[in-house]
Amino acid sequence: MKGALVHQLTAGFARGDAISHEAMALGKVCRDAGFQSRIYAPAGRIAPDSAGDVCPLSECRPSAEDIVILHYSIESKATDVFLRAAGRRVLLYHNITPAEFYEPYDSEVAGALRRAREALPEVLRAAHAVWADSAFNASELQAMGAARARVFPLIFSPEPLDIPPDPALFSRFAGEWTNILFVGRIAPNKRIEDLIEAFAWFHRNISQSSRLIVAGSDRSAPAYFAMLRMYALELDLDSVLFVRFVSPEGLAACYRSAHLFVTTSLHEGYCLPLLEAMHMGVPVIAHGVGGVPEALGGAGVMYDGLDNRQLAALFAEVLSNPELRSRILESQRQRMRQIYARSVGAEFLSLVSEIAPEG
Amino acid sequence: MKIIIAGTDRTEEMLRAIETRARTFAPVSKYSPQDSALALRSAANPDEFAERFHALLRHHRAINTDSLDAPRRPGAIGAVIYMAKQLMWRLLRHQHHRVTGQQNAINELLTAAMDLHRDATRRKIESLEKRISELEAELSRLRPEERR
Repeated sequence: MKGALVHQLTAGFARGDAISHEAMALGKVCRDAGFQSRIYAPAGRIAPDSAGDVCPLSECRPSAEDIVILHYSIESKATDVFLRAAGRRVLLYHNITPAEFYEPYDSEVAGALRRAREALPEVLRAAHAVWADSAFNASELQAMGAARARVFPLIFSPEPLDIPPDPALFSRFAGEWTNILFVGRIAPNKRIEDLIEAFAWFHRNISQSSRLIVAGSDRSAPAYFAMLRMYALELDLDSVLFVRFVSPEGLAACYRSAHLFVTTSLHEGYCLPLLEAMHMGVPVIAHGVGGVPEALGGAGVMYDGLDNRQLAALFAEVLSNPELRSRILESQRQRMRQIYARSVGAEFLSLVSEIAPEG
Repeated sequence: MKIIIAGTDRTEEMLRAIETRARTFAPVSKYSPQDSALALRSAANPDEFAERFHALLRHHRAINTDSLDAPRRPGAIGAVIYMAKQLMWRLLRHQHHRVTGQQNAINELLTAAMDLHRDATRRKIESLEKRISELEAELSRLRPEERR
């Protein structure tokens, strides 16, 4: 089977996007394991700066010996290509954000999410193998009858973070400030408004020398982003810094300046930024939803059912209690040792060996 | 309610500590729920969102110059720096108010321009919808061979 071509189909491709990042990382795993790898996305959905990394979907013509992996999270032309593709078809399920989150902000995205969920049974039937990037996501597929769903966790590679930080951003975040960080797409399911409100309680009542840094692309929900800007203004918070999409050096600057990483998300398939924060030695506080408990693996702080005022007090506890902080950091180091020890190549080969030949 | 720290359930003791602290907090928002940006989350669709966003913009167009928001650092040096900042603020206040006054006026003009543009677009859409209805009614009165 080695030497076969692995075609990865994505709904779109852009630097900083989690699934694009996963496709790139999986491409490297494929090559290291002796396969060839190519990534495809619909021509209109490839970011200009990524054109060299990805081919237009129309060029995808797999043979019967090839492996075709569909990264599935939203409806796209990639699904149609997958359903018709020759070769061994693998569904890699990244979860589908519930459409309700997008309804007030973007009907098109909400429709594409709804249709993706409706089409999922057909995609499952067409797949020779079903992989999910977290046990949470696999359990969702198993509940739909896909008993053979296997877990292939998101690939974490520390190298992109272990680089010198962007000096301009690093010096901007320096000083005697407490920096609270969120990294991720600015999307309604992330409930960034809850984080902003919790930060407002903290900033007003605990430490005026504090900042909330929100790093992530605002392209997927511009209306939601506008609402967040308005909300920060309403709370009179000029210390909420939306740095939007950042380069790898910029991301390194964000993590190196952070004293606390927080996510208040309501829907997560896994949450890779939690691993990034733990790798960078930043204590994390995360809302325990979806794949978050799995990503944390017993490390950091996980909460559920707190209101934003209580959450602010929890920030204060973690930031001001050295004993608590060092226990959290130790648990995170332990978790990261498990992540570093993972043999992604062996996992991949084992999963590939299970794929039934076509027909 | 749950607080898990480093894999251990510490809800009971942590909740007690954070509740004690949180009870002393002063409120953070002066907006009523219907005037808050968060009300946008209940919009049924993007059109309703845009309508509500436009309406809320009126509450957010003015720059707040009520207070000096300078972080106060601990210690004697922190106190001196804070006093210096307060003095600078008094000196600069007049010029600063002039600038923010201009910015508020510009914001109001922009909001008014958006209102005018929205009303003009609405009128245009209404007239086009009326014209389409008239044409559809005319078309339905024609015999099939006359519809070409």
